[in-house]
Amino acid sequence: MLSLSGTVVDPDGNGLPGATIMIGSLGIVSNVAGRFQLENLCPGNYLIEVKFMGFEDYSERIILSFSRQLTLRLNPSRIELKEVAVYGEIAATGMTNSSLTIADANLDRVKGKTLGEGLTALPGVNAIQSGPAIFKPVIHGLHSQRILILNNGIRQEGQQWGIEHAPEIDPYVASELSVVKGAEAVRYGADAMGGVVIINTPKLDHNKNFGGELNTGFMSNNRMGVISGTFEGGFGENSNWSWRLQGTGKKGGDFSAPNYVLSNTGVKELNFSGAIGFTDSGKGLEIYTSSFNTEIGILRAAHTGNLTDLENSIKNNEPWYIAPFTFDINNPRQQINHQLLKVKAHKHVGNLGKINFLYGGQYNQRKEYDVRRGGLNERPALFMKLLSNVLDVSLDHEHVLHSGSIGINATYKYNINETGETGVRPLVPDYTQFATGLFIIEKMRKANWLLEVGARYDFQFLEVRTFTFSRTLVKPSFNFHYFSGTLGASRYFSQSVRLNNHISFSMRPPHVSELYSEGLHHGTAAIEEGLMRVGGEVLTDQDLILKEASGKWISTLQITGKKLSADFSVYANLINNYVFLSPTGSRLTIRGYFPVWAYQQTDALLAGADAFVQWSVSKKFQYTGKLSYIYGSDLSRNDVLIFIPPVNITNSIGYQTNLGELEDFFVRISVPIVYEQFRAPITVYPSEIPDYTGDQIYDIAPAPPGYTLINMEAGFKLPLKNQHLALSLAGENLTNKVYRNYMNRLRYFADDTGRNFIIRLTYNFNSHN
Amino acid sequence: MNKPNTLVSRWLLRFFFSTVLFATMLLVSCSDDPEPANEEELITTLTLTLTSSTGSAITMTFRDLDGDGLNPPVFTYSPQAPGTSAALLEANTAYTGSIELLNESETPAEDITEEIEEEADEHLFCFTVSSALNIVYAYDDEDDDGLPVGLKTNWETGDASTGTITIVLRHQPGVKTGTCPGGGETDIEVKFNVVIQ
Repeated sequence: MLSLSGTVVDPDGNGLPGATIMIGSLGIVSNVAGRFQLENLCPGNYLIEVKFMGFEDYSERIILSFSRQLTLRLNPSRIELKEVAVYGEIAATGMTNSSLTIADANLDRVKGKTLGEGLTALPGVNAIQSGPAIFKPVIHGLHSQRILILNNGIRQEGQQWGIEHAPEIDPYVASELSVVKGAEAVRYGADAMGGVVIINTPKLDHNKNFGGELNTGFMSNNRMGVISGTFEGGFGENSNWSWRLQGTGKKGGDFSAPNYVLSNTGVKELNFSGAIGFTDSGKGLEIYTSSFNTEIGILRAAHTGNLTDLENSIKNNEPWYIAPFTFDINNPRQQINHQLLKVKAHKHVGNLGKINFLYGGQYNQRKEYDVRRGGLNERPALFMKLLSNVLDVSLDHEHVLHSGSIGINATYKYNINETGETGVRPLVPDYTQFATGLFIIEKMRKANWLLEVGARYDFQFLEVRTFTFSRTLVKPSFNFHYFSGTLGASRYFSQSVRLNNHISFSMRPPHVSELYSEGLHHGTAAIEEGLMRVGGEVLTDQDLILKEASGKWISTLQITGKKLSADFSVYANLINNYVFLSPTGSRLTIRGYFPVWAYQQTDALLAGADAFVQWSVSKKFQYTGKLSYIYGSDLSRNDVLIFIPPVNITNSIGYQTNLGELEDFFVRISVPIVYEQFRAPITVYPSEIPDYTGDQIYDIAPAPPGYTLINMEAGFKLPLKNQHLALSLAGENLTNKVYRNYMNRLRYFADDTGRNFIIRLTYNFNSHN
Repeated sequence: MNKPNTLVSRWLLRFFFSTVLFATMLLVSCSDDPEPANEEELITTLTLTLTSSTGSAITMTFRDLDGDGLNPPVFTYSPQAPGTSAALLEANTAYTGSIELLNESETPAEDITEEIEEEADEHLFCFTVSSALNIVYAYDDEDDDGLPVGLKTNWETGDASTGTITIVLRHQPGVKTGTCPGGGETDIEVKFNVVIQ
């Protein structure tokens, strides 16, 4: 006989006493702490329904195959703007990995920002920036090829090799942004070595009437306006079909640092998505399509010619080009389009379990325009097209004391450069890649323990089409075989305290960009050479390729109490044959000297700790604190690693109450403190590069000093025709602090953005929230 | 579960399966071999010619046929100072200077000088003479805005000395003011060795 216990909580994690919980025909009322327990249940499929005055009814279908603990989070029947952290969900899905989520009010607070910037709200997650509008997520010091982005269940296949390439996703599609900080390579393959970013869209519900949400936002710093709308509904009472349409438009001009305009940093974005779904008992189908289109200006002064230019830019305190504010976007700029079509279906098949089928087709087009000569400004200097097909089939099975999943993934990628259009030798060559993986994951429950074990085998075929210096076509092809494994254990000390330990081992062959890059990378003003491009030759021998192998351990203590919720993680990631770019010298060209950076491999260690604490001091006051620290080391060369985020701590205090007509009035002050990166690489200024003979990794400018910012936010809700209009005003960098961020590549050229006020208006009508 | 739904879902599934197949076939069939890129912006060769009033011409050439590639550039001086890689100039002599730019990776070689003349209002040559070298220069051309360009110059040597002349071509669309280095990017930076005898 099984037991089912849990806690009914409000979005703040406070227990709700007296809530009615119905499980099948059984009913129970939660105790003072919001807890409940049901004994003597048979394994099976149950519908849980929770009712509590002042909150929306909650229902969820669960499969009970072993005794479980659930955290049932109720949403207030009015839309509330409270700080929410959804730590409790993890208990329900039984994950031994470490994961954090931004949802509800926390998601509202990052609306209007890019995906990468929004994710930095989570401890342990940072971003590498290439200006105020390009954010690339970094999880525990790893990014690009080592982070998987799951966009509505589909792996995002974009040009993720460049650190100036941000994820091509509209964050307005999301109802939840999650980050898994341990490796999930077993389920998703090698690109989840460093963690997974999960963008969840709201579930389609055919029982819904027409509803939706309208969001608008205005930002003072770059005079940006955003408008986003979602509409959804069913096809009538007897239909099992439902639909959703969503769109976002965004236009902003140049950002400003406290003392000057950051010229040519404007942004334009126009996105659409649509979904149609079918649900019935035991089966479901969802078809989702999205289109992401953006144009982003790159700071004019960040475009440099040779080392002399770079030296002058760094040594000047101000960018050399400052013009009055404009909405115009000129070269250098990026123009990116990403189209996605997803088909997802599932069916319960007798005793076998649930079969999931997922297909995704994606087309990614990236054009980068440079400041060019001879009337070439209208033609991109980089033009890449990436087509990819992803197919995932899995079978989830649940038995009395264990559950698990077995599945197969296949991806087919075809990447080409339009060199006829660019008239520039491509940095990353054309390639075709076919990869397939087979995985199995099993979870076992024993007393207060949840154990997880998984294994995966991958095969990858890669054909590269590149040229030697004498313009001869070379087509090396490879067959890679590699494995990954995972072991996890979760110990529950009480209903609100548990300790997760997760160990994972994963392997990946280097990406095409790491193997065969060749030429001038305009984004970094350096000549880059891949691992298989030694001495100007194109190597084709597969035996020369060493796979990167990572072993990561992460331990997380989670507390999800009534007044206090907290999450403490420590981790260590040892990476064998870690691929990275390292300086190897400089090359004299007609444009003067350029630094040469070659991809190399070493053994690296990334270790650190994250902490998150949320404490309800009283009914009205709440404290939130977060901290993250990362130690990065190149073990074989006894050196530091570049672009490792410095220590950062954020403290915030919130106050909330009802002010007459204005519901949920709140004020919050938060103070992020970012320290200097004391383990930064040595500094070799550009003018010193031609004479630099060391093999230590260097940076072209010292790490900027630490800084403290002050951010404030206030908001309330206005009742409007049985609905609510939520309004909030946020101020960022209120003291107009002049600072530079180590993780922003624009720090070489300009200060970071100055004071910024954001007004957000949200109108919700019968929507999912 | 009613019948039309089954039909619709079946139809949709079939449609998408066929789309997948079609897309995959499309991809496989279009994997043609790429053509090598034609580097249209490349400048391989810079020649500074100094002609004295007596008509004798001195040339200094920088040539790098593979662009950013691994092969190092080649410097040629004519006449060459004995025992050193440097151009030989006469002391206390006036010269008229002209710069020629070529893309010799193409056949026939593309004349980039014309391009610079056409976009003269976006370009400026900057000259830096090392302090020990006794030579002075002046611009002898201007763009439509009356600002110097530097394709044509006048030079005058002093007493015997050795040193370097650095030629920098600044690309300054919209920001040209006629002062060096000014805003913009460097398109060319070449340093020539010079002996004045």
